Amino acid sequence: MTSQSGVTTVMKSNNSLDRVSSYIIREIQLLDDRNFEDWMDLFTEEGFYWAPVQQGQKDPHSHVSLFFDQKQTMKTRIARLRHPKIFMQNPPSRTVHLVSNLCLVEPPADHVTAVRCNFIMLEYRPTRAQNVWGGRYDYHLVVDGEDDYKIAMKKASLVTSDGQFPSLALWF
Amino acid sequence: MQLDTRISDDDLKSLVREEKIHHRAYLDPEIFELEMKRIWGRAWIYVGHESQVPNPGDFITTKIGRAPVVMSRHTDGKIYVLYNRCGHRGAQVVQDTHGNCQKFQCMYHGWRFDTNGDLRAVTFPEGFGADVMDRADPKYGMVRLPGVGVYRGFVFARQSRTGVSFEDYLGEAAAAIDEVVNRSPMGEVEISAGCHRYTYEGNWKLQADNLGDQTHAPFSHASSLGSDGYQFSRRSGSKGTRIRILDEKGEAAMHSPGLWSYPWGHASTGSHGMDGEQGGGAFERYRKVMEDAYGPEKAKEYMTHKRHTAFFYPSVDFHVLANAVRVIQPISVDFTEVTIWPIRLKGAPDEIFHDGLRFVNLSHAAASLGQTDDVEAFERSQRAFETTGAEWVNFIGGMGLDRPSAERGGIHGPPCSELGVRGMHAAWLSYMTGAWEDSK
Repeated sequence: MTSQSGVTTVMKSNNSLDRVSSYIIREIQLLDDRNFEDWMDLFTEEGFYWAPVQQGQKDPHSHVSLFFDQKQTMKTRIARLRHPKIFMQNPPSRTVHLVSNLCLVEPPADHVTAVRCNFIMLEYRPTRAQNVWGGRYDYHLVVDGEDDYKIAMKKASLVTSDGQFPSLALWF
Repeated sequence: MQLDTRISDDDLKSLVREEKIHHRAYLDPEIFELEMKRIWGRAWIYVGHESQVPNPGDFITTKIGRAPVVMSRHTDGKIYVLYNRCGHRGAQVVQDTHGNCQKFQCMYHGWRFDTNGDLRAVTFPEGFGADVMDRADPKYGMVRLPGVGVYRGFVFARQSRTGVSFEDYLGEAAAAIDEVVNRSPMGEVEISAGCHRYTYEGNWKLQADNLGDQTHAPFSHASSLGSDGYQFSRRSGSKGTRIRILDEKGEAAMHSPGLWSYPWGHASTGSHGMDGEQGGGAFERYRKVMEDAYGPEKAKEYMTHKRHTAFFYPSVDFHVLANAVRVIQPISVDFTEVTIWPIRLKGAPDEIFHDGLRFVNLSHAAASLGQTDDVEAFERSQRAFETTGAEWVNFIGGMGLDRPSAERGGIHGPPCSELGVRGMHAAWLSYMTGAWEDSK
């Protein structure tokens, strides 16, 4: 069916939505727990995390992005987050990620489960003001084994994507 | 905004020594106001690149110091830089960051302007007849900035009617812009991929100072290095892509020819040592189109990095390695915005541009693995500058080692030198006290 917003909602069982919801909650909790290595392992080998700068940005190749992390970049970023001399994370940021308005949407391919939801992330690095980031997540999930997913794409489209940013260390 | 000042030239002179600057230059809001008037109001300031306004009616908006400006391409094909201000009641006319239009129209009373700033139409013309105003008088239009200079497509403007010519302002430092543009097989570049936009809680000069030394890299950027002492990839190819910052023993290993200082506060740092000669992957196809365009010898010369950065005081840095333009925008005495605009080398393979974008994301985005270290240093500096009792900020590195450079012009210092920063602060004093007028 097509909703008023033009989003085609795929009718699936509540069970499927519940499963996806649990998976995404687990994913963002890994970020909040600073368990970056396990978080990275959620992605497929070709998977990527993308936070565009432009509203409605088509791809990560023709315009700058806040983050465009394939696995190699995730590894480099995590090595830096674990480095004793990452001065811009001394002290480290504390975060809480929240998701809401989760729904399944038309996937780009049959083997993909496409999820859209909204998010808010609170970030506090002691001595600094608290940051509130928010926007929309788009996930492309692929089935991994019996009943688990891997992330082929996580896109974080911030409402402030083309605005000013202080230094950022952590994924939305 | 404060137009008058109680700060005398002697006060200003007392803040700058050859090797140090007083913390008040970074802290005092009244000094910041003077900088807006005397540096950002006098110097040539970077505005944008011609490729951002390719067609008649195209425009972008930005700021020069505090003044909102529009850079447009008019129907005569020329570039204009206008105050983004209505000649009627002074409201900002153009709101969008970029776009195309036939006329600019003010939202307040509907006055319309040509894209060269001329007043074209007023609402209720019976109230604004020849008896009360001369419509051809430029003051009723969107006023043009007195000076516009273009070098290889990069557009600068200045608010002052007098001062050094654009050509003399760039001087020998202009070779850095050639280095960037010559890396296009067509000898042309474009800016078309938007910008990164990061801010910090500190004075604008902290970003400038950072561009006049290389000695911070082994320490500030320690967390960006692999266990082999090399940083993450910065450019296309399968080899020769990473900067070497630490040696096998973990000691600082800055393989750089040093840095250069030029008149008007410009500074350029030499290219860092890399992990070998650049090659492999998409780079080989790029080499081929360069050789086809220029011949093997010239192509090799153009493709060999000589510079890491080149900063044109006070507003713009050409980041030669990252292939991007970095623009400083002072907001207040302790808050600064910086934008980073990737450059596309026209005629080079698409992968060169895509790789370049990816690397600029890594090195200079707000979420970068490199620039964020510098931002941390800027913010820690601004906070500690508040100290009274220890008030001088030192730039003594390499004092006495400076030599005139036959190779690149200007004054050369070794990699340990803070020569570039000393040159900036000399220019600061020159602009601030008006000594610039005497040397034009």
